[in-house]
Amino acid sequence: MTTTLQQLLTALTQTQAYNDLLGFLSAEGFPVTAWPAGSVERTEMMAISSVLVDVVTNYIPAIAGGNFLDYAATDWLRLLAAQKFNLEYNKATATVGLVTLTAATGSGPYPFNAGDLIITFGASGNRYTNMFSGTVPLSGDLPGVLFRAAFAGSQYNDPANSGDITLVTPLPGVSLTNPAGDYSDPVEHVGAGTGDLTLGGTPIGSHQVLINIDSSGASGVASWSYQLDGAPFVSVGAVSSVTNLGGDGINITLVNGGSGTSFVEGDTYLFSTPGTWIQDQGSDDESNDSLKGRCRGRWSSLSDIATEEYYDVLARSTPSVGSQVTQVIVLPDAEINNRLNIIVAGPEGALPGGTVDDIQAYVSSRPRITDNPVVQSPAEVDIALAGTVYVSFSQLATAQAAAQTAMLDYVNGVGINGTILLSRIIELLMEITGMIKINVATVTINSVAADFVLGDSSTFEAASLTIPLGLTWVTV
Amino acid sequence: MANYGVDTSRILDRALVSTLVTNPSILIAQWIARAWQTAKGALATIGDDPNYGLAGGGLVQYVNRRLSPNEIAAMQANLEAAALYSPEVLSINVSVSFTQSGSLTINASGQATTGPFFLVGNVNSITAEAVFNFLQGP
Amino acid sequence: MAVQQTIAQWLRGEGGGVNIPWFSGRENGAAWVNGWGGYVDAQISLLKEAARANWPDYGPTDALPHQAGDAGLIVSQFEVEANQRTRIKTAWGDHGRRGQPVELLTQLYWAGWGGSVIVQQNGLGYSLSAAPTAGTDPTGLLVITDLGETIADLNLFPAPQREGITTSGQTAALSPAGAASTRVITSKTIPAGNSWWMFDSRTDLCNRFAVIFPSSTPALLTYGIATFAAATFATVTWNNSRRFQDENYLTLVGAPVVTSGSPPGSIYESSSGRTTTSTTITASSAWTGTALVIAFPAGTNPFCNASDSDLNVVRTIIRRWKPGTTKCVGIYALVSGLMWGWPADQTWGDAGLKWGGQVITFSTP
Repeated sequence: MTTTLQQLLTALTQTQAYNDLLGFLSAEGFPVTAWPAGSVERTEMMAISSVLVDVVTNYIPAIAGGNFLDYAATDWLRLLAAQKFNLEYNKATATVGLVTLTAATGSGPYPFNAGDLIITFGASGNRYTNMFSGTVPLSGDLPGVLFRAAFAGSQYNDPANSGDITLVTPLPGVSLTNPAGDYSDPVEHVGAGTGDLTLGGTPIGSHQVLINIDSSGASGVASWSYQLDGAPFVSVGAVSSVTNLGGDGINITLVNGGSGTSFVEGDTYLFSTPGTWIQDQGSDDESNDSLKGRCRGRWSSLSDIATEEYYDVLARSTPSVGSQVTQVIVLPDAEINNRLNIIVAGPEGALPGGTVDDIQAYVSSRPRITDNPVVQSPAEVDIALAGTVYVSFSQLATAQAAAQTAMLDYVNGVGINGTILLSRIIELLMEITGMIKINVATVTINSVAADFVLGDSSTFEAASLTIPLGLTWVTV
Repeated sequence: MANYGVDTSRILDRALVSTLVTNPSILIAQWIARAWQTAKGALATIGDDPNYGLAGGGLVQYVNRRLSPNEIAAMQANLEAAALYSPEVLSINVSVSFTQSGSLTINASGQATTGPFFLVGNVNSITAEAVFNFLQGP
Repeated sequence: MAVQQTIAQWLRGEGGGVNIPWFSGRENGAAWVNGWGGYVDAQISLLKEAARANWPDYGPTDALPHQAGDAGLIVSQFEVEANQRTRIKTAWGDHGRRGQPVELLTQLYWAGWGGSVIVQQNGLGYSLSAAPTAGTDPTGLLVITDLGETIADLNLFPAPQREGITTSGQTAALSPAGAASTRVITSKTIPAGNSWWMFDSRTDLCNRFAVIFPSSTPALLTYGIATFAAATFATVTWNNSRRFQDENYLTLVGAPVVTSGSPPGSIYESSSGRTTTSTTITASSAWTGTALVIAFPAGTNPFCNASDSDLNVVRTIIRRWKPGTTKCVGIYALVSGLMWGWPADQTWGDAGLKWGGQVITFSTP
């Protein structure tokens, strides 16, 4: 009899195993007929069947499934990926961010070495350690001190301007901040030009701006265009500055370099708003689904004709980026032939500019002739939930915490240009222990009682849930 | 469901040569002897009846202990309960005594659906090993 | 369970698990569960090995040729096992370079046909500057050579004359009268000063190439080193373990190279010690040193010969890794002297050159 794959993957119960054994013994004319609990042969068969069930339930499915992407998971999957697809899984990365140390009047100077300083974020309890040496000056500031999370993982994504950072290794009179300006810093520049951008204004909302130099020259002579949040490029001509770009309060000024050609045709400048204190976003070990996707996409790397899957694999396989990329969508540009928009995001949404730049450099070195791949992050859209929920009095606190976790996982995990389902929100909230009922008519996403669609074919958006949740909790 | 027909003989350990037990009274007595050695719940580890066995652990729990009369009475009741778990055991009377060296002697007799049964157990105070004898009875 | 246990341990209740004294707690019962449980443990281990047998880092040695086959590779006796495993695992990269000269050269190298040069009719030659490394893109090792230039316009008549075929530019006439078809070949003129490799008079088939071996390569020379350590005999193992199907071959025993002490009066092969993969060299007296021994089938050139299976390997590799539209016209091994066209900067008629030499041609794939 040929054993099917499904048979190999189907778990066996102990009762089935015991009865199968009993059947074999009976067929052989085994003389024992006493079968109550505690009888000798029954006990032996129960022991044997429990072992067999363990083998059949745990080992055989794992072993048989271990050679299939559809069934392999974690350890087996990582082995399969390495052995058959020559792909190593992307390991977790640690968050790296910039912190400013300020010595009060009369305090300092405080020299320190790498690893001397340990800081804690009060809200999360997350700890970070300094990566390089430095000195906090007497009565002064030391900005831009790089700190690395104590452990790798996506949970190390504390907000900017925290206001609640303390030194575990005390330096008397020293306070800490992790400021994030209006814009990402520095502006990511690719190309040979010596010029730079000065950014100003009062930006409204979260945006990503890509500047392309269309013709070479100095500021005011070079013509350039901008792409806002993945939309088609808009030419501004040969101007030295633009105010209130796209109506979003973004001011851009081209500043000449000290020598050479300031702005060279083909150069790009990338920045986002608001800025972030995070240089490298912490991430977890690559998920099973992501690794499976890369394995399947590996086949596309053999073809001389690049497919969308090929660029997806490249974006996820950029060596220095690792598992920071957890979402990728590849879309042909709506305006320019052979231009591919590769939208990437991490576990907490948009990736830092430097990370996007690294991915762009990796992908740009490996395109097919006439392809123009453009890597970018989605714009982040704030998502505010509201609604009236009824919870058991004794479980209010735990339900609130569980609701926040569930909503964060769902909304932030919807994906680039995904749809946030009202029904799913209600369903997840109802699954929380202690939840009694929800006034469905009051549940809204950004004040609208309907599903929320992110982005479209020319704009790329990812959700960023507003916390604390705007739910109204009624105890019963 | 009870089906006390024939079983392999086993009291303390697996025999090098297996023999069948067909005598109903010895069959029941061996079953009881095994139950007394087994902590209640031990069979659950292999997915079998969790109520089989002696509450509090096997007979070893009573070795080298100074038992008060009440504790001895409780011990006897425990032994009887473990035996009566079998629906084939209609009644049982257990008496225990300690030798000067601390070894434990258990005398049990009772009625099963198939007739009377007897067993005597001696639990060595030093090795905690039990030795059972199954008497045919008068 | 919190603690890793074997099935046998679990059945004995070691570290947690089954605790039934009369079942597995005493001597015979424990022995029984050790045996039975140990057997199941062994089967599980085998199951795991079976699953991993197809994986290059874990499969047994005898699985490697099958893994290689599944990956479209040929592993050879000329590479160590670790090399084979790495190549199988990284076959993705190799196949991404299919059709490229660097990969054909690399695949030939691993099969024992290293040192090869690809020469194209349209004037380019390719070779590797160094031995490739398994699992590493060899593109950086590629040496591209402009082959020798034609010194005059190349416009040769096709030969021999065939029915209906005329010389350049003229329409063919039916010949003999009533022939079913004509075949017209117009000979293309290649101006002087162009790099070129001439296979024949056809100037229009620039999809042709050849693989040449300007120097010896392991698959073409079977040899071993006899090492004597104050002894009167030494075993020689052939570098090519698959060269011979039986013990009917000849040997050439080279002069002894003494490393200490005095040389022996004579050294010779003891045919009684011969196998398909080795032989025994005997000395008239004990000595210390080495001697080169060459083995070859009767009737072949001792310094340039290949087994049918090795030839089939190189033919298979060429066929598999060349572009589909190209044709390999031959495999040429230089035995002595110089080869027409290689090296590319060799000028015929230079002082000191002498006519003579030998090239062995192996049939095309």
